[in-house]
Amino acid sequence: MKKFLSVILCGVLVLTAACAFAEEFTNTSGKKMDIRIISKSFNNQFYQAAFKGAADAAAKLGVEVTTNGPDMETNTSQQVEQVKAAVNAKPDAIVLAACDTASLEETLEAAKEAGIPVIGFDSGVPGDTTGAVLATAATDNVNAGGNVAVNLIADPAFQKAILKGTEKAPTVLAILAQDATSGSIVLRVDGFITKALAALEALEGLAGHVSVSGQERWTKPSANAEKVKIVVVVPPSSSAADIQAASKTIFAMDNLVGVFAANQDAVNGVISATNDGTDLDRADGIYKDIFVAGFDSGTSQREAIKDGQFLGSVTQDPYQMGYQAVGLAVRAANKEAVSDVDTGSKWYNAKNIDNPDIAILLYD
Amino acid sequence: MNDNNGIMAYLKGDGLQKVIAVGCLVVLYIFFGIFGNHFLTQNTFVSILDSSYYIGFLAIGMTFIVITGGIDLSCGTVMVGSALIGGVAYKVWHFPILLCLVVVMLVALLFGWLNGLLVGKLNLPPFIATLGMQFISLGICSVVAKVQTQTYPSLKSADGWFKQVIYKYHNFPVGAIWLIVFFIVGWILLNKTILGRYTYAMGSNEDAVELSGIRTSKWKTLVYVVNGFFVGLAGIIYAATYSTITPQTGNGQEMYAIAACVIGGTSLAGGVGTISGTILGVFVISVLKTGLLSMGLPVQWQQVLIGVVVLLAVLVDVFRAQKAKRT
Repeated sequence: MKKFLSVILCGVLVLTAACAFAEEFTNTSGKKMDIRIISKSFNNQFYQAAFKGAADAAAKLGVEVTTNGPDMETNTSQQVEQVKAAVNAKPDAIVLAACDTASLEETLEAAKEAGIPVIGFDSGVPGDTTGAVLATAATDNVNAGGNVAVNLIADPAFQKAILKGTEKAPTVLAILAQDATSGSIVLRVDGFITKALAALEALEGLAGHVSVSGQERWTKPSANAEKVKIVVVVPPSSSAADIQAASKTIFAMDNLVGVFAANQDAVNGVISATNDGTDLDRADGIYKDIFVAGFDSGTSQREAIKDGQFLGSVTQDPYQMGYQAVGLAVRAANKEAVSDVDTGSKWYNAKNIDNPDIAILLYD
Repeated sequence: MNDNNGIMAYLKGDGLQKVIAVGCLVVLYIFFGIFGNHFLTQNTFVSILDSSYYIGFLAIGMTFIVITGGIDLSCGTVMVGSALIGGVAYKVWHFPILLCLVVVMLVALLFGWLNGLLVGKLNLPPFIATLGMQFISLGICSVVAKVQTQTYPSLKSADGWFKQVIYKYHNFPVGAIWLIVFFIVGWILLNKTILGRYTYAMGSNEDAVELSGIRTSKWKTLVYVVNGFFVGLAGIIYAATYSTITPQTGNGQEMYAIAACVIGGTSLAGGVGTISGTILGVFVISVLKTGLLSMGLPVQWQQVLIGVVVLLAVLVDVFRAQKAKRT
């Protein structure tokens, strides 16, 4: 009898817990909530995955989401207009990845006055001073960039190659960053360099022999004569042609050992600069000894990783960003307290790319 | 003596800018050879070629337009847009790859024809007509693609053969051969056909051409269709070179095409210009872009220098036009 009762009790507890989880996102106001999502650029594959997460969350929570975003991440004025229009429509909440926080200040102020909660997602709304933004669902980019460095330098073959560097012929670890102003990419490179410096200097004989150069922001001479150089390369514009040309410059460097392509566009640039990755073929490619690590996902990058042309890559979780942001938005609209959610990042390579827990994070 | 006069006359006329462009190219090459990192290598040379294919095709088409006194601001977005729709044909409609390339061509020709109608028949100023078409192509091609990035088959896949035919066979830059072939096609069109003669004539004095009984509306439309043809070629080679086509990109590329024309001595006032000059202009731009990268200059300085070169080219054009007025 006691056994039976305890089983029932357990069952009830599990059900209650499940209900509590489910309730986390439930809309209590009765009518269908209106949530406006505005990304940094509408076309990007990454945001399309986030929109999917948002749509799934919306379906689950019974709210209405509308997605929008400018043509390009640099089209700040277009995004300002879109956010203004969203505020004027008086939705229950706005979910936003700002192209430029300063130019949105007035609009965010208006949202706050109108009592419309704003939730950040992806790169969020960095440096918001209006207080309109209540919480953000995002990858911690410093951690994510660091994640790449740690996994790349942990590779024994990479270590062996980078340790060949001497004071006369230092080995090179290059970083291809799409631009030197975008908050998320800059933080990612920050994280990568910090972890890479630490990991490299911990290797035998490299303490004090690693320098960083290429772009002013990251330049850091080594204490002793350099044996390993970390070089940051930024193309003059974010057009496919310029990124490809910048990749080619990297592959022309002497004693190049590793490359980190810091976002999806940079990865595509590296792939198109290496004859669709065939130059990186481990067996007979002309760059077969160079280790490339990427970031994010996308069709070409996944192929390159599966074929072993890329050592691996770190993916963010755009689906979770969209999903969690809508959850936060609903809670904020219901006047519940909300706080930032780190949506995480994961290293994937040829070995684990097909694992279900990784596959779900990889988007086209 | 006569020869000497010939050369002097050539230098005083349109030839001067071409000579400057060649000089510029040589100086840039030597400069980057000294200060750049591995600039004088085969890889860098191929890299310069790679980045000049699509700008080359855009610029050949643009030369026709600029000689008529017009401009095409839509070529960059039409190029990417047509490549995007070709990608949709491949990925979504599952067309064979060859047919997809035909789709790219047809889309670009359609936009060229529309531009032609607007400018030729409806007499809209080319700047406005093609600016409108820039937005339309930017939007409509993305709508067709449902704002999804499209990926062309990679070299290794079964359909990757098209890249070997169009872009690169192992490490041999096949694209350069196509650029030469269509450079010759463009040259013949401009120099040896009625279309070419009317192109120059319309740019010099459209009223006179009209008065001599030639239907300029028809010929102008045709010039824009020819431009559409070259934009389509640019779209195909863009797809082969960069594989991943992102919706709503491509604006800004038209400026490189225009800059190439101007550097090569094509006058924005119309009536003057050559295809060979334009190709020189294309290489000045790609050598400059590749060279600045190989020097490891910070981005901002690369942008400044590219801007300076374009301005210098336009200045030469302005001075020449003023001189022509005075004489």
